[in-house]
Amino acid sequence: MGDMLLAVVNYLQHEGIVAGDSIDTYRDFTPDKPDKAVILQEYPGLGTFRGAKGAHRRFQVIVRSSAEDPEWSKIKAWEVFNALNKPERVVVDERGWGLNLWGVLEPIQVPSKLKVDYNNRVHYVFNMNIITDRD
Amino acid sequence: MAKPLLRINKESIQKLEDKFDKILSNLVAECENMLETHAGEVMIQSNDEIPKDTLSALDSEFIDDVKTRDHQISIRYGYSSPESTKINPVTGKPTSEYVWELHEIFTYHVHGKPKYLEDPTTQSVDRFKTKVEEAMNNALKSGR
Repeated sequence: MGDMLLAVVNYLQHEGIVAGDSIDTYRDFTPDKPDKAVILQEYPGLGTFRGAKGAHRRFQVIVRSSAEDPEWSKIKAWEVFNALNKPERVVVDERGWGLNLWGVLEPIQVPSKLKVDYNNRVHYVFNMNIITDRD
Repeated sequence: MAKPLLRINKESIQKLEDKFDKILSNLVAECENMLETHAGEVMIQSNDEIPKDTLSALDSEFIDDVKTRDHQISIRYGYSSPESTKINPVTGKPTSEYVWELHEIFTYHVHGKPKYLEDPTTQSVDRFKTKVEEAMNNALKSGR
């Protein structure tokens, strides 16, 4: 069975943007530590298309900084965003590289500051549309 | 002198242009009405989903008037515009400071859920397409 969020994490790791799944990047789960974290959460997109194997899905990216390095979340959020949204390459197909990601990625918005939490950690957020395989 | 292949009746052309103008005008009116109704329906569902504690966020809802410019018809709707933002009576914070966080954070909400505006809007896409089709059909019929 595929895992779209894991495929995105693997892709970001391959691009050198994140360290890896459950290291600094988490799926459908927001850990209290480490402070510096990238959190991906899937939520409903438009669904499936009649006769097509793929599906329109959505996921959210939250990047959280530490209190000591508040600028990190903004910088990292934009790194993740730019890796997922390359104007010269709308269709991402990394399956030939041993990664499990095929998708047409389109941002819903650009990264922007969401909040500062009770531990003074700055959160940046953006959301992505992705047309990709079903899990 | 050779016979003309085509005769253009200027009066007929003018009638045709008038008909097109009427259809276009009717189409704009149909779409404006449709958009306003659709936004209202989306907001009803959104009102049901927005997290409720003091009801301040809910009370900050707004639906602007439909705007038409250069045949582009648009409407804005949501919560906590500069004009509609409310003050939370418990925290003293304006709703504009936290409605987005309420929308984006996937934590457990006692009375409501995140994506309370995006989900109703997304779920209404197919209905919206049908309504656009109906508006176009109505406008075309009115031009006959």
